[in-house]
Amino acid sequence: MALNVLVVDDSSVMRAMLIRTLRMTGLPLGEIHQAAHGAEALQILDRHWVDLALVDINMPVMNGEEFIDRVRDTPELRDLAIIVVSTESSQTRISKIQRRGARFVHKPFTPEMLRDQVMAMTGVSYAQPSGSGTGLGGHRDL
Amino acid sequence: MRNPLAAELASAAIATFEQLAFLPAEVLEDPDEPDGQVTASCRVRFRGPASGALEMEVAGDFLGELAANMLGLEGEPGETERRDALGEITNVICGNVLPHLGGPTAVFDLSPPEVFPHPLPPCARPDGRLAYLALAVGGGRAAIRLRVYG
Repeated sequence: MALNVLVVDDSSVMRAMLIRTLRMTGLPLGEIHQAAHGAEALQILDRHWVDLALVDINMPVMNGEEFIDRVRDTPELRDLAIIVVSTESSQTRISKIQRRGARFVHKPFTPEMLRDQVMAMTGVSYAQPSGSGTGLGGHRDL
Repeated sequence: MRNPLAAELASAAIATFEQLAFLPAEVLEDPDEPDGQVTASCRVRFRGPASGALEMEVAGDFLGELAANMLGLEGEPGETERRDALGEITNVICGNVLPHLGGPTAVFDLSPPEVFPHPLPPCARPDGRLAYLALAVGGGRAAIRLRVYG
């Protein structure tokens, strides 16, 4: 199964980093969509099938917590796999996110950390990258 | 490093540069401020159990390498990519050092990074410097300050 992924972060650099990291993991990827905040992400979810959302917390217009609440309160979307990727360190906020059925990856993260959470959240497995040709050039550990 | 908060700041900064940008970083024992050589700067303000800002000033030309590594670019990154990369790095360091200020359950709100192509404009509250750190990063240098007001 190829995962259609939605990356939600107000930083274009972080969106690009997350997409690049996803491609390094060897996970089967389908369409990749991007949104700069929660409201834009909801619009994309209205028009496209998405299997997994990677979501920041601190964003303008609609932050990550409100986005998760809106998704979980919408019958057609409530089962969406969500992983929060954030600098957030408060156990109070992280626990609240986890109670809403989302997983958490703390920035800074390694490709393995992201891959493991995606696998645990979606049940997909990955093809072991073989180095060149996988986008892994210059990176460690995978 | 005798200041425990400076040690946590160093740990957060080094991990962030290495994991997000694949740039080795090490603490400089000579912690002079990089006056007159600053090529870019960034400030992230925070509010919560304590209010303040994390500030970073960089000297030398490593922002190109920083942005290229973060984005996986083959060519030379543009000015926007460099600024965004500096902002994101500062934001992540700030988020990682705050638990050491307010405890593991404290909730802080961070403002979007303010990035400048020159030294930081004077802070309205120049007092309250809790920790200072100078790092050698790539071919340049970063000075990082944690300020807390009140």
